[in-house]
Amino acid sequence: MSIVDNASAIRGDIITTTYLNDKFTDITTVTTSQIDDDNVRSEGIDRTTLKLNGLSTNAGIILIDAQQSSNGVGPGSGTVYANTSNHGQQAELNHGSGTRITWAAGQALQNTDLLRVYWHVYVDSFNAEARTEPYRQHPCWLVWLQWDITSNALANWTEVPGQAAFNTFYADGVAPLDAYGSPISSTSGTMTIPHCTQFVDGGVVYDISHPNSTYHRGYFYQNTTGSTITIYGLRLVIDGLYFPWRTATVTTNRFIHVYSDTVVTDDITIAGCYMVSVIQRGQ
Amino acid sequence: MSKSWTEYQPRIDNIITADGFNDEYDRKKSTINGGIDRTNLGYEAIVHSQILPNCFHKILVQSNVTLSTTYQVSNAGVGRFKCLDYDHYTGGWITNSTYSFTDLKEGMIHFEFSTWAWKYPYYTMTNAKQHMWRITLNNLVVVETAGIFPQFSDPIIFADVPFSGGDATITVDWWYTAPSTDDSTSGNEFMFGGGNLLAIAQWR
Repeated sequence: MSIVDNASAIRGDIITTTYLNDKFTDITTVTTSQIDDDNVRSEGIDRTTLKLNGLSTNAGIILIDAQQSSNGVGPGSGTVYANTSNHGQQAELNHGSGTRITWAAGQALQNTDLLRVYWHVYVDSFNAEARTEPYRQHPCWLVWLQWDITSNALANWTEVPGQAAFNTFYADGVAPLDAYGSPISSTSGTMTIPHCTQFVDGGVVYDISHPNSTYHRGYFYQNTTGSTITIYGLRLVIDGLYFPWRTATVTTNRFIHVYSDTVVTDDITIAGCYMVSVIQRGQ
Repeated sequence: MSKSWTEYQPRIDNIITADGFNDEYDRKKSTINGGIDRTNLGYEAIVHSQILPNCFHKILVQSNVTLSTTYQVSNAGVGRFKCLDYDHYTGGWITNSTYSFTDLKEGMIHFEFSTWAWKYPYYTMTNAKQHMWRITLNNLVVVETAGIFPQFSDPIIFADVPFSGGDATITVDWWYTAPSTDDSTSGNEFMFGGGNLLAIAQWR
């Protein structure tokens, strides 16, 4: 209770030092770390009384942190990522510096804090081979988000919560044998880039390469619960080619990369990668 | 305005009266007991730890939104997802996911939804396969996409709508091309996953 409830003086009262001190002590008690909504009048708080930050309008009150990265090298000058057998070893989307978001001193994500990550990737071009095997239809590249919550050495990247690494080995015994991938139930930080489009009209199959010079976007949200997480970095990784997959006996939907699928002339050239992160209070 | 002016200041040799004392004391009590405002508070005096949770806004986050298992039913062929087929879907909007967002105050709600989606473009020359997305708020459509044709897509949907306060029911809906007479009823048609929904309700 933070209300001053000491009674006012009544005519005839003898005002002693004790009498006065009781009244002023009551005020001192209430106004020492006790002020709350019982004391503040309706609409008594406005922007000038909120502790702001020179870098943003509501830092600490709603907005905690905002970062961005940007790396683009222009059409014709990007990095080529090829379809190889080395799947399960994703490559970082990197054209040199500037494609990661980092916090040298670490950034705390406290209970109820919300992390919002937005990115887009500029695809310069594709090299695509025609494919007829059922398991090699509908190929795509997978780009997904990782973070480092260990240290600013940035040597311990892991998938963000709700995101798989697409590197689980499956030997389903059904063609194709030996595939790597993950169930689609953990793809909250995943963006797909179609490698080519295959459609069937009657009995005729058409393979069309995906258009060059295109942008692809992805979003991710992390609502922190429980213990504080300290984040040191965010980055995007890419791997491919992956295919939609399930069998008559293994009905879990997966993205898989076929181990024997090593048509290395399938590749993608990425010439830009841009990412923004916002950390805000969740309540 | 509750700046407290001096009401009674006894001088040397004054006799302190109850009325005089009360004028000053009651003034101070009045300010402290529900009268404090920005004229009393210091510049940047309030930090986050002193602010009541949800006094400015409230959020709803859902991750890995996926095609409802009701429609993960197809059985044809390998090399596809187990997903929507025309034996279980013949057209129209489907509510895939429903979320409650309660105890909201008057203000605006900001929506973001993103996902990856796949479709099998079969018989696309005669019945082009496309899908659409929409978000509803208490049965009102707040945003709806146009038809999306690519085999793999990653749509991003935004909306900002006013809200009068109370409880909200939010749905994520999808629509897919209805079957033609050429389409098989058992083919693998449409799948999506990794969906992320964010709703931020900010009070006026």
